[in-house]
Amino acid sequence: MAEIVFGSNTMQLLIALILVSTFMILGSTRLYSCIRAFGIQSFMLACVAGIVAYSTGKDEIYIIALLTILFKSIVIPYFFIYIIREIKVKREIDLYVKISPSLLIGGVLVVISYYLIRSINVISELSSFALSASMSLVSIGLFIMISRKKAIMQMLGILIMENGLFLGAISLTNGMPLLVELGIFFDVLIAVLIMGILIFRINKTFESIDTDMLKTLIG
Amino acid sequence: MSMNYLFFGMFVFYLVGATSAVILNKKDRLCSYTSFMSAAIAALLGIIFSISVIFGDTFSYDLSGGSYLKFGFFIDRLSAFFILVISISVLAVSIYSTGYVREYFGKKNIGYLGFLYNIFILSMVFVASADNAVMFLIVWELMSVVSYFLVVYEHEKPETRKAGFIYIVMTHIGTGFIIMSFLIFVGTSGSYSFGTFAEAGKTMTPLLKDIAFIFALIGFGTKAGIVPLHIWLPYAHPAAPSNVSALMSGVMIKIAIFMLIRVFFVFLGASQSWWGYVVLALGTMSAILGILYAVVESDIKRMLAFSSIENIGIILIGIGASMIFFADGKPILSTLAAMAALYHLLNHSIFKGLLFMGAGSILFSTHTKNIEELGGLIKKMPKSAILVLIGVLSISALPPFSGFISEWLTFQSLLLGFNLKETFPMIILSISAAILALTGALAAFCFLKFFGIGFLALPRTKHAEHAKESNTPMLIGMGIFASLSILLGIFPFYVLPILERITASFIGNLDSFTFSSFATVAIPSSTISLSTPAILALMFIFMLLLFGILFLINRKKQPVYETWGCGQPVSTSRNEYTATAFSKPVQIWFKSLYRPAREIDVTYTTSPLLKESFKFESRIEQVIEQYLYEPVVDFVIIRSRKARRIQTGSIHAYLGYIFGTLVILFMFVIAGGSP
Amino acid sequence: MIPALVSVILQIIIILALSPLISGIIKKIKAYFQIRKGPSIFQPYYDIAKLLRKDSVVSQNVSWIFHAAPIISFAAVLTAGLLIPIYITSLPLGFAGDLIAVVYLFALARFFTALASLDAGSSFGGMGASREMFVAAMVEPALMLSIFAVALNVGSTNLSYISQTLSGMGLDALSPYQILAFVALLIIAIAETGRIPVDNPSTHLELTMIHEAMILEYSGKQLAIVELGAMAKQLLIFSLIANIFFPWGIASAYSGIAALVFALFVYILKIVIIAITMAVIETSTAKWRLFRLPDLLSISLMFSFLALVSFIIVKGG
Repeated sequence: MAEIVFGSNTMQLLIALILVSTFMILGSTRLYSCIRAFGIQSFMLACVAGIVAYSTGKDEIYIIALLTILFKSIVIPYFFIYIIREIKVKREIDLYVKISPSLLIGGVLVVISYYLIRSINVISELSSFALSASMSLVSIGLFIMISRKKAIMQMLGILIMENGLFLGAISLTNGMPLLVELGIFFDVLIAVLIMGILIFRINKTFESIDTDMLKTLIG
Repeated sequence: MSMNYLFFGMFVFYLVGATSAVILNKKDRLCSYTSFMSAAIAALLGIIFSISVIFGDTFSYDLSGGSYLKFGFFIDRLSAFFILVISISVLAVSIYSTGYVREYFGKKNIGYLGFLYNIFILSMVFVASADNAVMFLIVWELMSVVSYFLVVYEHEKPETRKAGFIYIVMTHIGTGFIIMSFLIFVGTSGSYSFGTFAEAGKTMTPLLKDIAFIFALIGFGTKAGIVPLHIWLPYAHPAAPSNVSALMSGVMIKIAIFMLIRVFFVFLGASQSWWGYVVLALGTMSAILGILYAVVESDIKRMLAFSSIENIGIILIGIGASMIFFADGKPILSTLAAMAALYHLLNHSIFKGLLFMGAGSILFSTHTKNIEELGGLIKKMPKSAILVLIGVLSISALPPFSGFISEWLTFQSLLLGFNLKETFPMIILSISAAILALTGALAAFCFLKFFGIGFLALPRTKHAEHAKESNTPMLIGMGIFASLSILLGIFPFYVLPILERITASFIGNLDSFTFSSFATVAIPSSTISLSTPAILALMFIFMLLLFGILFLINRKKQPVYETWGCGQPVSTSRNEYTATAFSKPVQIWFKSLYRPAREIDVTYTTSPLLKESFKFESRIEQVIEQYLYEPVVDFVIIRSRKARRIQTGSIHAYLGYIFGTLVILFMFVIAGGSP
Repeated sequence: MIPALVSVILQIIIILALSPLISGIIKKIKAYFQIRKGPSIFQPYYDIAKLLRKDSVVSQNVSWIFHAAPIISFAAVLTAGLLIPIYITSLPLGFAGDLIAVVYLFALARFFTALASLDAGSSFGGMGASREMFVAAMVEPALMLSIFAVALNVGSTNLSYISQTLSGMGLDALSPYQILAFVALLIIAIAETGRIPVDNPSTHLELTMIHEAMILEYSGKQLAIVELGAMAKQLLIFSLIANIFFPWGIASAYSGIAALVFALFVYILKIVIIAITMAVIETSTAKWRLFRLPDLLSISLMFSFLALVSFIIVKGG
């Protein structure tokens, strides 16, 4: 069942667009663009979940899809924008790895994810696209955390990784039990809130949330 | 029977050229005519000979009588193709040389040059026709040594001597690897003859095959100029006289490719696809690195040398793809890729030869090879300019010239990689195609800079102001190549069947697939086709129409005025763009590769406001030379210094060494002799 | 034979007639977004007619290249135009070249224009030539990968065949790899036609010019040819996008005047939509710094690479 759903053109289109939004985050130096792209990505993810819910008939997945739209597409991006406005951070992202090399590394990560998934023989052909995309999201999310200096980008990286895991879970098992999904959700939400508060505090104390500066806090 | 006459006739004429050069070395003018025209006649014979081999049978001739020292010739279609490439180049370059060496009349020994020139070409022909490993190595060494002497022909300049030194060291390292690779074959087959190597290749263990592959790749790759073994090329090719550079870039590095094809396809059977991937990867890397370094060069000949590295890369991309397809059992795809590579090889020897001859003409009439000092040459040397422009258009792969055809074929053969069912080749071939596209665009950039800044607008220095047109032999030589560039671009469908015969000799016969029909090149079992005569015809029609329309509309005179300089009354050459400025965007884009360093030296007079002199120096690192070779060279030199301690100068120590060696040898005999 | 000749001539006439209109439409839409009235959409026609009447002042430094370049460039663009399906998929001269040949014909046009700009010996010409070839070099890898992505999907680089096959596929032609390749090609189209964010076609500040700096020395009837050539190239690039990615409505053979007129109408509609999209993109972004352009083209490269990879993942293996 899942195979048929994931083989359809619309599903492939959505997953391709999810990958596209990830690359928009990788290729942008402006905070607002990154946050907006993340919102779009979460929306598409919700659509994917919606289609899975429609085809398998499990209503709980609808709820998950709605929660995704509510929190990841609307609430969290607004929360980020609120932080940015309050702290008056510079809206340009500083990079450890420049844009063109980041994009190339992103491409390489997508290829590696594909080969990784292929080496697991149980996966059928059609959902391998969704799984490679989810692996790619996880690795690119981690890469974003490594290569961007702002603390907000690190939060965004974790959220992208979580998106990737969500996509992987949906494509493998047609969604996890509702309880587990809700649990993860609230974990993520609380984590973001805590990170937000911490950022406020850090900024108040040190007048900067540049993690480069935070490196000097050793010993 | 007549083939014997052709082959030995060719041989005789090269010898005549060499000996006449020696005999007549005091009479510059006569000597130049006899030695170079003799080479030209020999080349003509070579062309006829090689075409008859390609369309006929293989040619072989055994000169040996003794048991050990075999000396024979074996020329199959592949060798004949390379003799054809050599001969075409030699024909044009020799005619050109009769004009070019007038530069050296009275200053240097023309006989010496003529002698070395003929022996060099003869050694290359022998390399292509050797039938056993021993003879091959002898003539290979001869070729290397003679070319060394040619490179240091202008040995009064210290940079020439340095260039020669690097060249001779690198070429011998390469030869060492070639010997090791051949030894593996000899060890397996028991005979030195090349004919037995193919059989030996089949019986070797996979490990031995891989080792033979790697050694041959390094050995011949050094001669071909593959990155990272290329460092001698940008020194040696500019240092040699321009006609010799034309031959070295056009022909000598191709001989290495010839042997690579022989070893990989014929001896080793191209059975492993990872070999193909390695060749493809090295080719792609050479292509992009070669052109990146060419773009930032202002010395014409060094730029052309780097461009040769780039084009060798493109040829290797074709060969690598061919090997991948062959190992996968797809002879049609393999043939197409190999044809693309061979076509590019032929094209490159022609248009690179043309460009080097152009550089020689520039050097001849302006005495400088720095683009920054040129300008306005199109008005002073109009005929040379048009011929060089044809070379520039070919190397930038623009239709309808020859470079376009071979680049098109290479792209199509990479695209065909999608007929292989695995995903790995698809991804690798696409990445290679993307890098190849970048290389092509950068090549256009580089040569636009060369022609635009060197030939157009106003002269930038006195050198360029006093330029004169090249003399007739030089124009004839360049003209031959320019016409060939155009013909090879417009009539590829005549060339492809010839190439098909040649690839058949190492890939195998394709019975029913043809790659060309009337006036078109077509990829078999697809709808892809290309017809450059049609494109040329269309362009001509449109150009005539446009010219007519422009001529008829508005027949007023065209006022001539100064170039727009933002309202300032300036029209000097100081306003023109410089070559360094032109390539600055690319230099900034690839900053991490070039690692540019900049040094500014200001000397002041008594007041800090009045500057006496201002020196600006901008340098680019040669990354591979700096980070790969220099540490190795330093290491070797340090160790060698330490080893010098053996040389104590004392007789007793030396006698002691002899005694010690004797004792050890005795022990070996005793140990070996015990039952 | 006769229908073939008629078809060829008709195609040239359509290209020449339509190109200035498209430029005019883009300018009008931009003006609309900037809340001004803007010139009439037929203004480019009047401009070209005016230029043809004027004297052309020629710099004293130039050689024959300056005079020949507009003719050669325009001829190359028109030749490429005959290889691209406009309103009909069967091209009488389609055997002469494929998509790669079209790309290289555009490169030929660009080469001669850049050479001519160096001929006058001004700094602006040199700068324009250098930047134009620089942008072209950045575009090439992404362009080649996009071509590969499209060619793989269809199985050929022959443009008639691509159009034909895709228009026969109906809505299936909107597969994810096609869309990714479309976005990549849209960015490439912005670079090739010299629009914001790559280049500003209406700037008068020489230091911000790329394409305009190359043609700074041209005037009179030669400038008319150069301008018309640029507009024709723009139309052809839009046609490529229209007929490769949205090929429905294109006629496949000489199936009667009605079908041809309908196909022409659909074609003009598609081109106008693309023009409007371009105008919207131009209005909503600012021109990027020259050395940020490699980043933009890397994004395009990644899209086309993703297109290829997703094709390989979904179809191959």
